[in-house]
Order: sequence, then C-alpha cells, then structure tokens
Amino acid sequence: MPEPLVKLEGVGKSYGSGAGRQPVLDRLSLEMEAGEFVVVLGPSGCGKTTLLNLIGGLDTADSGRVHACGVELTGADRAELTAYRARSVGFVFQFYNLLPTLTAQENVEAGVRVAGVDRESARESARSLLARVGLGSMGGRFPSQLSGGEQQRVAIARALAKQPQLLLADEPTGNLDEETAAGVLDLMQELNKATGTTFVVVSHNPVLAEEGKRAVHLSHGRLAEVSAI
Amino acid sequence: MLLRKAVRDLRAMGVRALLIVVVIGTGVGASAGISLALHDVERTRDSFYAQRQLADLDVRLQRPLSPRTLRRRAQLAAARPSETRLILSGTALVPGGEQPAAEVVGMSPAARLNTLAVIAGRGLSSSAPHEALLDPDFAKRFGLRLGDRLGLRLGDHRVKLRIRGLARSPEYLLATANPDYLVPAPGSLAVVFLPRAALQRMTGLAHRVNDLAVDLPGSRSERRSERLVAGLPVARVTPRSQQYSLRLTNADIQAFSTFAPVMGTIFALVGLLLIVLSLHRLVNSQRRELGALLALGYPSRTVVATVLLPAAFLALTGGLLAMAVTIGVGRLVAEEYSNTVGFPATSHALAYGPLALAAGLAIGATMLAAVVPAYRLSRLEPTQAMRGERLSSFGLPAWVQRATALGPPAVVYATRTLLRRPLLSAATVVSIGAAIGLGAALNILVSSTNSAVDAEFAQQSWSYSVDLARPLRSSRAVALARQAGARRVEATIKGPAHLRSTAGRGADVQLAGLPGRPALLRLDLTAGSPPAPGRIVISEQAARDLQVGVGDRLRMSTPAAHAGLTVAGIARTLATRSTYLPRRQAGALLSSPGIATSLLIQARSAAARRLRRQPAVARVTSRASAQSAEREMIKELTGLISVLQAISLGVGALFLVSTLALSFLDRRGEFATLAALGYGRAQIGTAVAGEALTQTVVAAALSIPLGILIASPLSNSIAEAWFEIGLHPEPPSFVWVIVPALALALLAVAHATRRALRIDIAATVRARLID
Repeated sequence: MPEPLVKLEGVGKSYGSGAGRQPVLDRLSLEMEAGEFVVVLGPSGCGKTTLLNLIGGLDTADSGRVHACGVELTGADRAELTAYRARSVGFVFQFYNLLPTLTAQENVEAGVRVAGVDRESARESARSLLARVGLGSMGGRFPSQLSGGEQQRVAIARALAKQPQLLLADEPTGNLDEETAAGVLDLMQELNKATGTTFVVVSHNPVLAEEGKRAVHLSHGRLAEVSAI
Repeated sequence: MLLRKAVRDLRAMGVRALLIVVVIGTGVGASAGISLALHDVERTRDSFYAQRQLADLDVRLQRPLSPRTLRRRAQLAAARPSETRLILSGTALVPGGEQPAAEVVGMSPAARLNTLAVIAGRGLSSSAPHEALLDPDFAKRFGLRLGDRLGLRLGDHRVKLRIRGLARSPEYLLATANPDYLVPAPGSLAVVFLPRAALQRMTGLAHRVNDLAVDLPGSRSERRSERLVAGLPVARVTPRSQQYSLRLTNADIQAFSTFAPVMGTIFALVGLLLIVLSLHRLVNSQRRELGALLALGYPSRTVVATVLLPAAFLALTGGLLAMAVTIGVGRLVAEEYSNTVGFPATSHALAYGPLALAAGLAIGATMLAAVVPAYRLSRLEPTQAMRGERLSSFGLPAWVQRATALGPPAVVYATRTLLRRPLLSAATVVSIGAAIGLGAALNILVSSTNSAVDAEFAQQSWSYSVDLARPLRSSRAVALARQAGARRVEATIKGPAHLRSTAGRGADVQLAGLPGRPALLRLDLTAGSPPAPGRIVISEQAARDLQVGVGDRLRMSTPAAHAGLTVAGIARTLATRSTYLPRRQAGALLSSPGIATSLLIQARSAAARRLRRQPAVARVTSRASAQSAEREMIKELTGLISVLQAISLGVGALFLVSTLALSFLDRRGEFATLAALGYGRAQIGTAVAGEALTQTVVAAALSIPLGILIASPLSNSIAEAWFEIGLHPEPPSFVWVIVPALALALLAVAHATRRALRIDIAATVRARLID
C-alpha cells in the first residue's frame, strides 16, 4: 500500500493564551492520497483554514504529527517550511493574492521561479498555463485590469506552474458569483485530472461537496464525517 | 469616545508615532537650536561688553605721547570717561623656544573702561609691579599657570613677569595674532595686562602713553571722534563697531543664521511628508469603521476629528521635543563655538524666539500634514468607506512595463513598487536626498573654506610678516630686514581709513600702501587692475558693503587727509578690511610719507629669529603659522558641523525607516503572499533591499545637485560675513555622507526584512489586496 501524500495524526492547534485559549483543531487524524480532489467542509470557525495552513506549512501544529509530500512538517524550522512551500505546494486564496505590480504572466512566473526554474522555462510554463486556464491573451495585463474570475484563474495557474504535488485552495470561489465560481471549480477538476496534482479545497458551502471525490466534514475541530463520492 | 479612539490610534501607530515625533522634534529643534546658540553667543558677548565697559572708541598712536595731551583731546570731544594706556607689541618667550606674538597692556588697575574680568588669581595691583595678568587661552595653549614666570621681549627691553592671574578684557575678548583675518586663532597672542606705571618704568617710557580709550555718549559721535584724532599720529582707530570680537561674532552670527532656516525648512518638509504618509495610512486602514460612524449618523466633523486629534497629540509632543532639542543643541553649539573661538563661559537663556520657532514649526508642520487626510475624510461617503481600504490599482505603459521586467521576480516587484505611487516615491527620494544633501553641503562649506584659505596663502610669496614696534623710514626698515638675512623685503605702511561711496555708503577699512610692483604680496584680483596713483584696490567684502564696482568713485578719509579715488580692482582676500594703494599715496594719506609700519619678507627661520630680537620689531608671524592657525580653527568648526551632519543623517535614516515601515504595512499581504509561495529570507530581503537601496542610491545621486544648491546660499552668507570662499564641491564632501547614508539604509533594510519575515502568513494572506 503506497504512503498517503498527506497524513495527519492526532493534530491539535489552539489560538490565544491562558484562559482565553481557543482550541481549533482537536486530535485530528486524516489521510489524503496522491491525485485526490478533497473538499473540506464545515461551518465558520470549525478549523478548515487552520487545517489547510498546517498542511501548507504556513503554520505549525501544537501537538500531533503532520506529514505531507514526503516532508515531516512537525517541528520543521522556518527555512524547511519555506523550502517545502517553494517545491511542493501551490496555494489559491479566496482573494487571489496576486501581486498587483506584476502582470498576470509575471505572477505565474513568480510562482515557478521560486522553485528554482530558469527564466526561459518559467516563461514558457507560465504562458502555457495561462492558455490552459483560458487567459492566453491576457498575460500582459495587471491584476487590477482583470475580473475576479480571471484573477482567480491566474492564481490557479500560478499555483500549478511549479507542478506541485499538492494544491491548497482556501474558499477559492468565496468571492465570485455563482456562474464564475462554477467555471473556476470546473477548471480545478479538469486540472486535477490532467495533472494528477492533489487538490484540497476548503469551503463552507455544502454544494461544493458534490464536486469533490471525497468530502471531509469538520465540526469543532474534529473530523465529523468523511464521505466518498 | 473620540479621545479614546485617538489614544487607541496612537497606540496602534506605536513606534511610528515615536519616529514621527523624533524626526520632526529633532530636525526642527536642531535648526532652532542654532538660532538659540547664536542668541546665547550674542547675549554673552553683549553682557560681557556691558559689564566690562567696552569703550566706544580706541585710538592707538604711532608713538607715545604725554597722557595730558590725550586727556585734553578727550575733553575737547566731550568724551567721558576716558582711559590712557601704554600698549606695546612684542614677543613672548615661552618654554619650547616658540616666540608667539605678545601685546602688553599697561593700564590703570582702577580703569573705568575696558576693565578686566579676572578668571583666576588676583587682579592688577600697583604694589605688585612685576606681576601680570594673562589671557587664559594663551595660558592654556602654552601650559602656563598662576605663579609661573613669563618672559617678554618689548623692543630692546627684556622683562620677566610672574603670572598673578588670568583675565579677559572686552577689547581682547577674542585675542588673535592675526586680526587682519576674520578667523581667530585662540591662544596665538599673549595678551599681558600690567599696571601702567610698571610698564612705563620697564620700558623707559615714563609718563608716556600711546592709547586712548573713550566713551562718546550723546549725538554726533562720528564727528566728535574725527575731531578727537585730527592731527594725532594715529596708528589705528577702532570704533566699537569695528572691534575685532564684535566684528567676528557679528560675522559668525550672520553666517550661521542662514543655517537655521535652511535646515529648519528641510527638516520640516521631511517631517511633514512623514506625517502625511502616517496619517494617510491611519485613515486608509480605518475607512471601514469611519464609514460605519458616518452611516450611524456621526457628522463629518467628528470623523475629521479622528485624524486631527492624534495629529494634535503628535504636534504637541513634537513641539515639546523640538523645544527640548532646541535647548540641548543650542547649549551644545554655543559651548562648542565658545571653546573653538575662545569665548568666555556662555550664559544660556531661554530665548522665546527660537523656542517659539521650534514649537511653531513642529506643531505647524504636523497640523499642516493632517490637512490632506482630514480633507479626504471630510469628503468620504459612508457607502464607499464601508467597503474598506482603498485597494491597489496598478497599470504601466507598455515600454515602462518592458523596461522594468528585467531580473528575478523579487527585483521586478521592488522596482514596480517604486512606480506604484510615483509621487510618493519621488517625495521620499527628494526628502532623503535633501537630508544627505544638507550633510554634503556642510562638507562643501568646510572644504571650500579650506580651499579659499589655502589658495590665499599658496599664491603669496612672503614667508614672514613683520610688524614694526614704531614707524620707521622705509629704507631703514628694509635694511633692518636685510641685515637679519631676509632674501627679499617689501615695506608697507598701514593705517585706518574710511571709505564712502557716491551713494553715501560707508566702510571702515585698513589702508595698506604697497610698492609699485609688489612681488611678495600677491593680490588675487577678481576684477580690474592693480593699484595705481588715485586708483584703489578694495576687497570683495568692501565692494559688497559699498555696492561699488571697478571704475566707481570713492572718497577716502584718514585722520590726516581726504582723497577722491577710483576703484581700480577688486581683490579676493582673507583680510577683508584691507584696501590697497601705492605706498607713496598711502603714506601721504596717512601723513607718513616714506614711512613703513610693517614688512613682508622672504627669509629662512634663522633670519626671522634674528628679526624678533630687533628692538624695532614688534612681532614676526610666519605664513605657515597663520595658515595653520586658520586651518586649525576651521578644523575645530568642523566639530560643530559634524553635530549638524549627524542630526541630518539621523533624521534621514529615521525617515527611511519610517517610510519603509509604512510601505511595508501597506503591503503586508503581498509579503505574506511571497512567503506563502515559498520565497525565503534572501528573496524577500532582496525585494526590500532593492526598493530601499534604489531610493537611497537615487537620493544619493540627487544629493549632489541638492548639496550644491543648499551650499550656495550658505556660501554667500559666509562670503558676506567672513570672506569669499567660492564653492568647491569635491568628491569626498559627498562620499563622507553618502557612505554612512547607504550603511544606514542597509540597517533600515535589515529591520524591514526582519519584520517582513515575522508576518503571520496564515492570517495575512486572507486579506484582500486588489480591486
């Protein structure tokens, strides 16, 4: 049996201190296989984003073990986490987080070159990915010259450009209208199939569960239900 | 509620609020501190003059006369009180073989004018004829203490005196061996005070005096002073206004008084920009809550007050700090100045003018800076405001986009960030450039002054100047020098004169008579031709004071004669009061035809030593010692300049740190995104450094023209006050400020990078960045 791409064992995470300490994840254990499309669902404050941050190396767990893409994230230092993010993980954020002074093409390139890819290859890869997300003619535009949906497509291209093993998306459609959101989700599913990259998408929208191959329901920091589709 | 919000906002601003207060308070306070120091210097001088009864007029004679003659003259001119004195020039014999110039003042121990301020030991006493009081700067320079013995050579008399006390007199407040030059050399002249009768006995001049000090109360003092000196064998007439220490301190006050407004304006602008940025940031980060207040029905003025209240707090704190810094810098500068020029202990006073200027400028600049964000708030619509921060909207022309697309993403990002708010970037660069430029300007002034001094001395061919103890026939004076071993000799005659232009402007000058073709004294003519009969050469300062040029007519008056003259040429000289005529005409005007009062010689040191031993010689000064004294003085002044430079660079560095911090706050989300993408310390550091160093490098480049621009009015001010220094911007003037500025920029970068890497990435990436 192959090793799961992401493995969480008894992970705990709290915020605040003293009496005001607020547990967010409570002894959570979870596994995700390579190539999966996982949707993480749950109400606000249930720990979805915290889970994503721990898997993405943006934050560290207080207890338990987080292992992803062959890297032991528990106890990893800042430099190791940075290297892990640079090589193995792509992020898609709710508000896209494109760098406003870089063009769409340059934003995607910025996502590739951090992985050590040379300039020419990065340019080629960015161009082809932008074409793939339907923005082949918009590479020279700055983010503020793009619509929300287009920005999110650029963000997805940026996340995939370095060919990560794992793509983490935090409410990727939360800021989009219904039609655009559907388009973005379709694109992600298509890319999941085409690239074999594992997608972990966080949302509080239960409708999204239908889109995933597996839905993980969180409640009060614990795994409430895992449903395969 | 508003007050609570203001306190909360200030707490949120944290270190930035402190930086704003420090930048504005230090910058403005340093500038006003200069004004306060000048006020202290002027006050100290004037109170010393008042306490010590500085005489209105001092008349020095070429030869001693009976005191009765002088007293009668004083009575005729209705001068009262008056003091007759015997003042002799000579040489001090100090340990180590040096033979510095000396001036021995024989005066009444109970004098009512030009009285002595005894600093250590006891005052003059007729019962102690061999005990003298000595100038404290001279004593300090040569390590002389109370009770030590000091040898003097006065003509053919050698005397030995015991030092009874250390004392300053108002007329020798800034004693210098080279009063022709308006840069004093403290300790270069041994001013020795003795009971008059004792000096008369020692020198065989019983009942003879050669100096009259008088007060001329009432009106028409100029006419009365002319009557007083008419027909007397006058060597020098010094009205109070031409008194050396008064002229020097006035010149310094005039020169440095330009520094305060120039520095004040630069620092106020830098502070203003910083406050605009901070308050703009404050307003932008609170748009949502301010919009909510408007939606709840709060009037616009309440919302505007949310900016004005923190601004008022910053203004008041900045004003208080500015006043404190004014007092501190004022005392520091006044003390430094006093130590440098040899002034008595400075008395400090809290002058309202500079303090009000400091507080007013700091408060005014801060409140002015609050106007822009307050205006924007007053026009805020609730619906628009509640959408939150104004988000980034960015575009570039294609060619700029291409030109800035070179290099790794971190560099492209840094370059484009500077173009995001071009006006802000430009203002930041200009502000930092002005701070560096100010430091460079101060260096330019010092190096230009040194260059002017070096140039003046370098072109001279004389090696020693010799002041005669009494006027001699020129031929005899020349023979004296030749016998001592001088290779070349030029005899000159010097005396007091007054010039008046046809427009009625007047100037007291020193008339110097030169040989037909002077070979040792080289005049640096900036216009016109050398002196000729009826054609005078005047200094650039005299030309400026009289507002005349080559070919203009002047009228010269001496105690003995009047003459109409044409300006033949204008000379650049450190001896700013000197004017030059052919010796024959000068001798006639000074009623001393064929007479010399001083010599310029080209000789070895042995010849100078022999000359010093001559009874007819009062003092011998080497060109090298005069030059080194001037350079030493300028070197001492650079200590003062360094303080101002440090403040200037410090303010520039604080400004850079603050703007970087503000810029960083505006882009926290972007740095978090870079970090989330896997960019590490090196790449984020590159982005921050690229941005800060680009700004600093451009600012450093800009500081070159700005430095010259700032130095220009300061140089003019120095030229009016001291002597023409020109502007000689040399690379080291800039290197010495640009290198520390770049080092400070690197520190600012390290600080900003550390902050960027400490961001809570997970929390920050969830914020919205772009419209």
